[in-house]
Amino acid sequence: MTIENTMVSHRNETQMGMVAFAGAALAVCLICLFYLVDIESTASILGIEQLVDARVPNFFIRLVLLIGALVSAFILIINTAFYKRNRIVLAPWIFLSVGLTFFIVYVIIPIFTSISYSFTRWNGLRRADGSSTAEWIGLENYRMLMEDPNFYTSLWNNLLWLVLFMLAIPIGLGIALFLNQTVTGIRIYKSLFFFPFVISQVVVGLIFGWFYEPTFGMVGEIWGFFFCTEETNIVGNVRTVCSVDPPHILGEAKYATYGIIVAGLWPQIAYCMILYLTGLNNVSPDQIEAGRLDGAKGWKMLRHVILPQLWPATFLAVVVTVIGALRSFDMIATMTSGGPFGSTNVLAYYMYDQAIGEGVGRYGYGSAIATVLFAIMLVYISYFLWQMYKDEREGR
Amino acid sequence: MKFSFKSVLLGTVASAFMSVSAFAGDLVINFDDLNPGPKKAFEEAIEDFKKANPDINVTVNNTDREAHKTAIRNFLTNDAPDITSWYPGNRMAPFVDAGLFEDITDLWESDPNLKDKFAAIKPTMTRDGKQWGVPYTFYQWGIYYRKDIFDKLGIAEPQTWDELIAASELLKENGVTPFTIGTKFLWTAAGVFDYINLRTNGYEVHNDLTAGKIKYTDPRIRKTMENWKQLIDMGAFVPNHATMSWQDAIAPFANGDAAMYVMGNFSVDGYKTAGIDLDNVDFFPFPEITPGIPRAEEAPADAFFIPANAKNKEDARKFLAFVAQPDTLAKWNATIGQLPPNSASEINQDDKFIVQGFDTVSNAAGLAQFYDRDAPAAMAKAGMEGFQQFMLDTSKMDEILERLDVVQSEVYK
Amino acid sequence: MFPAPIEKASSAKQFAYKASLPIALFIWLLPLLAIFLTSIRPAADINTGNVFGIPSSFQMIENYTEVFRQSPAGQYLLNSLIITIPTMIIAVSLACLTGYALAIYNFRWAMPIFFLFIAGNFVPFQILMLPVIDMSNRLDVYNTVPGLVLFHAAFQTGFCTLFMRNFIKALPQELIESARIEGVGEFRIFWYLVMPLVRPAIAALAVLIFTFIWNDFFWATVMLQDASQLPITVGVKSLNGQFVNQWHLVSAASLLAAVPPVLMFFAMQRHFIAGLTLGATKG
Repeated sequence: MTIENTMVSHRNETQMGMVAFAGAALAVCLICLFYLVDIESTASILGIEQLVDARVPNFFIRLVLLIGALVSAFILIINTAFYKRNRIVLAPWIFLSVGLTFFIVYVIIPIFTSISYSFTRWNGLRRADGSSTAEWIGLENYRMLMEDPNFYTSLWNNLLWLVLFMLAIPIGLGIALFLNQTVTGIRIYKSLFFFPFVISQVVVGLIFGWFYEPTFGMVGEIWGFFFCTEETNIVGNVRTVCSVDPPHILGEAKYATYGIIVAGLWPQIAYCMILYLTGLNNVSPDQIEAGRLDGAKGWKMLRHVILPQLWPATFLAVVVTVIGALRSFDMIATMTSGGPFGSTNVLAYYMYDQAIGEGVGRYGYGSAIATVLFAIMLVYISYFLWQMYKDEREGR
Repeated sequence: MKFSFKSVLLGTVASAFMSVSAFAGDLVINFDDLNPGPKKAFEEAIEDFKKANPDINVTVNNTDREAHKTAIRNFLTNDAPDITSWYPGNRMAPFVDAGLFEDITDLWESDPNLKDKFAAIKPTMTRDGKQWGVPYTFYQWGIYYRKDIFDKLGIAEPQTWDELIAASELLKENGVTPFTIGTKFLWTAAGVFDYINLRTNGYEVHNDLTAGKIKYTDPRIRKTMENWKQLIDMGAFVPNHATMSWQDAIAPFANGDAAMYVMGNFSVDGYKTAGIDLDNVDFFPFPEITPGIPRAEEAPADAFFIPANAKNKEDARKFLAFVAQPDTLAKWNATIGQLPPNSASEINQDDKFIVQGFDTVSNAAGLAQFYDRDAPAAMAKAGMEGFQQFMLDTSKMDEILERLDVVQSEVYK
Repeated sequence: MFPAPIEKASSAKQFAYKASLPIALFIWLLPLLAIFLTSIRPAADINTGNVFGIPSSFQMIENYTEVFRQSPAGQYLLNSLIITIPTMIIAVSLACLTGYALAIYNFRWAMPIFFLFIAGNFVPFQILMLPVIDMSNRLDVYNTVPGLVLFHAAFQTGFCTLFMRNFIKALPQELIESARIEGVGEFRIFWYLVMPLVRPAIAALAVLIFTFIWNDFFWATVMLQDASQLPITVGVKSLNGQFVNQWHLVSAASLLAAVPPVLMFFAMQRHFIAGLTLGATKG
């Protein structure tokens, strides 16, 4: 709230100058401290090293100093005559500064760093002096990708995810239409239908993993009911013998990916449903009436009157479903860890597995996979941005 | 693996103090096993070390094994302890190559224990002709079997491949699956592969394969796979192995639905937990396949290393010398039920698995570290996926071996 | 309203509709019901194959206390909170500032920066993973909760900015114009005029970010290693390995992990849905 107080008190010029000067001095001091202070030795001089967990506070003391310096700098800036004259130009940058810096450092720059890693062979290790052990190999990683059957499996699975995940949209629409009534208690039904989306994907993965379990799970139970009998084995314990072996959905390459996708669809359908429910709420009653007068009913009405009005909801559903499909990681990690023999890998999981899973440590190769995934995602991001851009244009 | 709230709390406190900058006489040790047995053995050894060296202020940071595998990549550079646990063989190679481990050849040359009593295991601690760590435990692999089932069917411990096949057939006829296995996390399949390979072709071929000197399509490796195929095709392994972990796979063994398990000695604890009377379990070394090939064994070791960035290397060497003593290792391994790498150490004569294991490894012609420790991680990953796929569908053999050749040509560049 | 309101249909149809609702719900939530039943079963039931039926005895309290006794589930839940709440506060506060800047000022860079935030929000995590690990390492915050929170907050700023900017854009711009004409400073306009108006947006964002971060698995796996720091999502997965074939405990732990976001959802339902469906009605 320092800013507020200073804002109030800058009535006369001298006071303003003094505040600006103080702000400048403080900013310079803090920036110097930020660079110079040796926190470990300061702590030991003050005799508080036992209190200082050296790893985190070092960084945080620096962070606090940096934020202090920034705030002081702002005080400096907003008290200058230059700011007074150009405040409409300068103010947005002050508002943006922290958030934008943060975002650029943690999100935008790493994208390019990753791409640069993809041209190296690196196991992620730094030498004792902190220098990187990476070795520049140009496009070698991409050439290796082209020959890697696991990469193609992952790519194919990504495609399966994309295509099958789209089912969430019509199913979500179906459930939304089913629930779009005003009978008593419908709100609770809507909430409960939405429920799966709120649960962590890890939990959904565990639930379905158990569901598919051929001995103790649901599938095993159902199978056992039809095909299995119990008998006594050689040491006198009960064992289950099945005339037809139960399907090991997550253990067989030909079913496993489908099994995971079905689990993934469950929360995704819930999300699409809620998008459509909101959309249906805002469908104009006049147009429905007009449609009715034209004799449109049921499917025709849906196709020609309702769906066009639901376009924003559909657009959003497509966007979140595509992103969800390409980001599928948690479920795979929980249900199969990419197995059996890598057959349920998608690019996202394969990248993780190659880069840091089980000590494999192929940072360069992993980054190449990530770059390919990013390139695919970029197509959708561009499409989304283009749509938003059109909307913004029309909005003006 | 069991945690208690208290141990987690202690761990937190320990890790908070661990990074406080060290003074001379401070010794920071990172260890990676929270399982009750290993944890206790380690803590007892630390107490003994403190008694012997009252001037050294020891700080311990014990983390979960999986977490340690990732964390070590970072703390060796940024926040190095004075001692860390890690694995020999190819697993230490990246750190040795990046100059992150201290060369302790001097210790191996001067310390009386390391000099003479560690001959069997010395090669796995060696890279570029230097020694980098001190092993504190290792354990045997082999076939654990249900003695009660074998007795009931009149099967003797198989000594040869033919006897093993005959025993398997007899078990199948009586409704018992010969082998249990859980390949969800892949490495268990590598154990079977390693043994069939060691028995078919011997120690040199194992080493040359994991060192990238032999192709996977080599006729000798094909022969290994053919032998394995014989077992798989007769239905010698439990069918749903791809969805089970090694612990899950104990269930059919405990229930008497499967009679044998190719495993390491750490699994004995799992049999106890699963409620098997240990009188009904016994051990035999993997039988001979090609007659006349010297018998090599899988015996993975765990070891201690000094990071290059350690602050107190002098006391760290003292600790390693302490660990290498026969008494230390005898006590330590008695607690965890494994084998002491120092040949002068006493072993627990009451534990039939340890007695047989010690006998097995001390008469072995060579000790392998295990496929995924001898081969580079990227190769091991691809190889083990291939083995799992092979176990699910033996008809893919050529395809798998050819693919592994491609991976091999890239990994060993 | 579409489809046609059921009240206008025959009473037989109405009855059929009302009867079909609970059946549909039952099928939809079957996996969840099954896991709930499993979580209150004694272990013996699962081994004897009583997976569908009524539990032979109700062991809700026993099973759930067992989870806390045999595993650091309490610690995991606490860790989740320690990660989630600061992230929520930082990301939403930053987004108020950035969203305001992008919605109110018509400067040339407003659109490109806005698009930068949106695009960044959609990138795959994997392309950020290795540089973020490496950077956290060099800043000495790898494997610490604050290191994870910083990343989460930075990443979520993208989504929050998108949300805030659109919300503020929809406010009447004349208000701000007239305040400016009266000579009110930019920061006072932001604090006294706009902030009170965006409270609903703050609430919606807070519940959404809470749920996103609580349910995060990937970044916690990647950025945290010590068992004592893990959030519940990662914890519950490792329990799955620990409780071998003890599905009643795995189920109980899974449900525990799901409780806070579910409570959050039911408490703040309107805001939650408003947040998720932002844009679904525009156009």
